[in-house]
Amino acid sequence: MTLRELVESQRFCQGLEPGQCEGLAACVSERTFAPGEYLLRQHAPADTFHLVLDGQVQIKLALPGQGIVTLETVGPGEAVGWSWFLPPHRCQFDARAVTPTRTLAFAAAPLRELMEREPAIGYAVLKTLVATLSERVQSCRLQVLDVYAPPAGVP
Amino acid sequence: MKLIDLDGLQALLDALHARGYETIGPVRREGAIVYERIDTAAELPAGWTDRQAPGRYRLERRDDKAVFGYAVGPHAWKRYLFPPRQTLFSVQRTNGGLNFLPEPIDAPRRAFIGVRACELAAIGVQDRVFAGGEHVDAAYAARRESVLLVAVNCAVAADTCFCSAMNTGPAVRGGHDLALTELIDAAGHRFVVEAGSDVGAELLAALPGSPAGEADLAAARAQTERTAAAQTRSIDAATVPALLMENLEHPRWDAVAERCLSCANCTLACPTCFCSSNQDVTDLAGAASRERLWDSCFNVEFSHLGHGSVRGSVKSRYRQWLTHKLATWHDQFGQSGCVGCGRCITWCPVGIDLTEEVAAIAASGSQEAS
Amino acid sequence: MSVAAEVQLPAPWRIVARQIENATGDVFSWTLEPCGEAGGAAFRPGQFNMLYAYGLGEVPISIAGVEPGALRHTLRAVGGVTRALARLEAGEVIGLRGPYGSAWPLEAAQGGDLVIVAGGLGLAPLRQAIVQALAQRERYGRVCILYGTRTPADVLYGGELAAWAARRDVEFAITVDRASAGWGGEVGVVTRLVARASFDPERTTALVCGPEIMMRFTAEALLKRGVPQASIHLSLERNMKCAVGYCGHCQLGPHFICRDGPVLPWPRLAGLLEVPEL
Repeated sequence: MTLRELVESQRFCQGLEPGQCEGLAACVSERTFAPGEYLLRQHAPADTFHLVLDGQVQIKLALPGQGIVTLETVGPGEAVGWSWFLPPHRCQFDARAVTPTRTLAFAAAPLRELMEREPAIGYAVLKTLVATLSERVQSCRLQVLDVYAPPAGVP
Repeated sequence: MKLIDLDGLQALLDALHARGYETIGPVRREGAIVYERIDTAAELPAGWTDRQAPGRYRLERRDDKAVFGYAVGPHAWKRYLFPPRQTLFSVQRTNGGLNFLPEPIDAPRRAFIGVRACELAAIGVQDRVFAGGEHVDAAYAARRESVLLVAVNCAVAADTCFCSAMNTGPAVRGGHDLALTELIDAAGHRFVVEAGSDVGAELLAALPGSPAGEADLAAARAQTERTAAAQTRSIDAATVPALLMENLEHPRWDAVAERCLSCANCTLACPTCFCSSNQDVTDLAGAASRERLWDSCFNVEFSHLGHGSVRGSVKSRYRQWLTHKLATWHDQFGQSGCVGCGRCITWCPVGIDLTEEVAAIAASGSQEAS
Repeated sequence: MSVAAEVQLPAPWRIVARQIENATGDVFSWTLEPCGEAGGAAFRPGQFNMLYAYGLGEVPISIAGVEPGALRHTLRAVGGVTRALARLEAGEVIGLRGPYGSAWPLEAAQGGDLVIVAGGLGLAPLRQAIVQALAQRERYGRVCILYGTRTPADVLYGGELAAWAARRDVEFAITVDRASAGWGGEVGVVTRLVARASFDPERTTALVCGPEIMMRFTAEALLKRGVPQASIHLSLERNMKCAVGYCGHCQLGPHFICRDGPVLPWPRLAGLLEVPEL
């Protein structure tokens, strides 16, 4: 599959005009990461929007005294982050490949400009992003509920 | 069919005693009419009636000497067929093991005197629960087998009665061995007696009496009609299951929860409520046994599970009781759990009336309206 | 002796082996053998027994394993009775009565794909279903085992899981809610594994067991993928005393969980589970 075809097969491209998909394809490249390589680093500029094609990515945070803790893992079809979209455009977490990982990497600044210029594209991309965010919040909430924990008062 | 008088009633008790039955009947005690062992007809509450209302029960004198001139009191016959406390088995520790010993079944021969139509229906409902399914409660079945039922057609309806709406009375429908209708008028104080079973027919044949005439039978029928007509409360029994199950989040549940004390009185007084709990007990000598005790869905621990009770709020417990009684009982046992005896209305300390609760939900149309 | 008296009468069973099942050390399993006659009852996965601690009380525990002449039960000490049971050692005797309740529909699932989703201790009631399905692997299409638990130290049946994961005819995925250092596996809720597993929704039977909220979200994830409602089966838990449907404690709407469940298909649950405190 060419890069263009890869982009067109993504969910956010269904419903967009061919010309619009081309605009998206112009911002994108395919990236690969070996196990252990970082896709994103905390505090670094969030200049790339990664959509995982294959592999597994850990979202990690450094906690004083606990080292670098994995909060969540992200797999094929899922977006890695959203700090690229919101100012101040700084990554809030580390994202690190666990297995050989392949992503569709969109350059954040050109993508933002494209979304601003062409609202239809902006809306399509955001719909996908909101779906990812919604799933993540749901997942987080269940994780926070600690549903597998024994009842209170039990060691 | 026969006509007997008060002496005949005593003769019936004597005949039952001669056949080895302990007779249990209504007596007046501590301001209520309850069911206890009686030996003579003189112990019946002659000349008394009851005045019932939501949260209210008082006895009053009648101006005649009727012995069955009242409705139902706080006792239901279930206390004899499904006792509040039973031992199920005992356990002994043996050399490195356990020995489980079932408790012998205690099923004394008893005759219940003065069983109302609603109570016969209630016994039938508990028969279905304990003896009508895949697992038969053998102790219940044995006690049921050794009981003889002398029913009474009600001459009065309490304000809280609604057996007519629930189609369980006031006329006795079946399941009895004998049925009495008490008449007091110009023709005297007498009872029309009819048999409902072979055992009943045998007893009836041996009773001193005279044939019941057309006038007596007409008077008995008229009395039953008056009793039915006197009932003011009702529930639409056919539509109530769907009504409640489609309105599980109706605001009326919150409203009734503001009043309900979750005291469990209704479940204790109700003749069909069957919930129980098991309690394992030990003594200082190290012997253990398991007892089965009456329980109530109004107890918060009733639904305890791991992190807490599934039904922690009073609202959820009231809703469970009412939806079980009037709706899901149909799914489980093919009939309503309610026989319209009105005890839950009378014995609720805050006077909650389930007929009024149902009517309120029905009137509002849907759970969006309040 | 009468039927009902035996129905409620435990029999003595001996703990022949006891083992800890996770690194946390709070979950243990027993292998139990009857002290007397075996009785001949067929214990089916999904069903449960009432386990009795002398003089204290009983708890309903799902059957975790069925071996010739023996049973396996997996427990966690969470209350008075289970704490007492947890203190018992191999060689001691408890009371056991059962089996009660409905079983996982393994026969009905044959000929199609089988998806098993377990959360936390919910893996225990599913273990024997997995063992039985894998023993007759050829009768099923794809078999997916999806397991979510709290932390890596809480993973149950570690050795057996590794064996299932190693099988090429099984798709096995595991995730934890909270990772520890050195965990290279997935982190996140088990429902996310449902979205990615390879099964054909239309010919899938799904067996789900775990905390109720996890089961509800899992059912939604399965429905979202197109698994028919009637093919999704949950194992429910409620307070139980008699285990035969007449103490009233285990009711959920019209169902007695001890008798109509604990395994119930989604259509009979959907309208009930979404009503709080029902």
